[in-house]
Amino acid sequence: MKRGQEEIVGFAVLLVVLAIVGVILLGMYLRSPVPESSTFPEGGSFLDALPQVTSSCALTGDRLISVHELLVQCIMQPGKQCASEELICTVMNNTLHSLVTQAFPIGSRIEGYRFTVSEPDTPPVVTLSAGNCTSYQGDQRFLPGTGYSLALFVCT
Amino acid sequence: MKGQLKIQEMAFVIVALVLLFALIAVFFTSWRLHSVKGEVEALQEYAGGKLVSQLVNTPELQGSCQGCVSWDHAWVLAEGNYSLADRWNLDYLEVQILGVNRTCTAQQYPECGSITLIRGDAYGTAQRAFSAMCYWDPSINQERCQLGMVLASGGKA
Repeated sequence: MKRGQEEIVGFAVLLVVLAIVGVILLGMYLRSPVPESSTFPEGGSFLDALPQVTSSCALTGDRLISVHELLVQCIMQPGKQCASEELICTVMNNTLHSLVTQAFPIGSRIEGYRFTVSEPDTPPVVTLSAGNCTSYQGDQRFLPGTGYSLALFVCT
Repeated sequence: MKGQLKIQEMAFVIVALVLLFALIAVFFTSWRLHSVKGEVEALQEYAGGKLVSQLVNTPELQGSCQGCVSWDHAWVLAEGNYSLADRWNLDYLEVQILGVNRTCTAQQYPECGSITLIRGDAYGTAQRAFSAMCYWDPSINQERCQLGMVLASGGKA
């Protein structure tokens, strides 16, 4: 075998070794678990706390109802009014908007959010969104007694 | 002479191969460390969320509903001398009502938005979780719950 041929063979062996190393590394990369990114830690606690907040709507007497009762009333009887003669659904939208914007101000930490109240396989009855993002982390909670669920998706 | 050249060539190739593998090892290690760091952060956030939700459900802090914080309980605990840091193994614990910026003092309570229950000498980044802060509001003659936040650091967080 000539010297030039020997060098070509050496070079080919080197390429084969490199290719094998590359394949091994690629395999390890692809087999490594994808980091969990489906949940936003504060999202769940927000959805747990939200229904317990007291709203500004009184139905009978002077007792102010909770956001949970407000949601249930708006879903079940959309035309109903609070004692202040405002539509329950209007108060609900304003209350939810105020709470979501307070909890997730768009800035350095939160780039955007999308909050919905919806029944499975139907368009949301409430959609609040802000910011511009492509990848969201989120959580959802069912609203007892309605079949509806609250969902919050945030991008950071 | 020809033999020496061949040995030199082989030595160069071996050195180049060693350098190449060393570089690959460095890149691989840094990539793995980066992903481990992300996993640790995610676990810390998860543990922090769990810690805060456990705290909120302790009899000392729990309000009238599941997961609510009693604003009155928090104030009493902050004002008293209860060694909370040792009891809960925390360096920092604060409860806040969102949108109210006043720190609670004896003169301002309950119309204030922040009660610090534990403030250690040194504490890291606090873990956060939302909770409803509930108190009796004499102006409406019923309990009022407002959206708030619990911040905790230390312990298992």
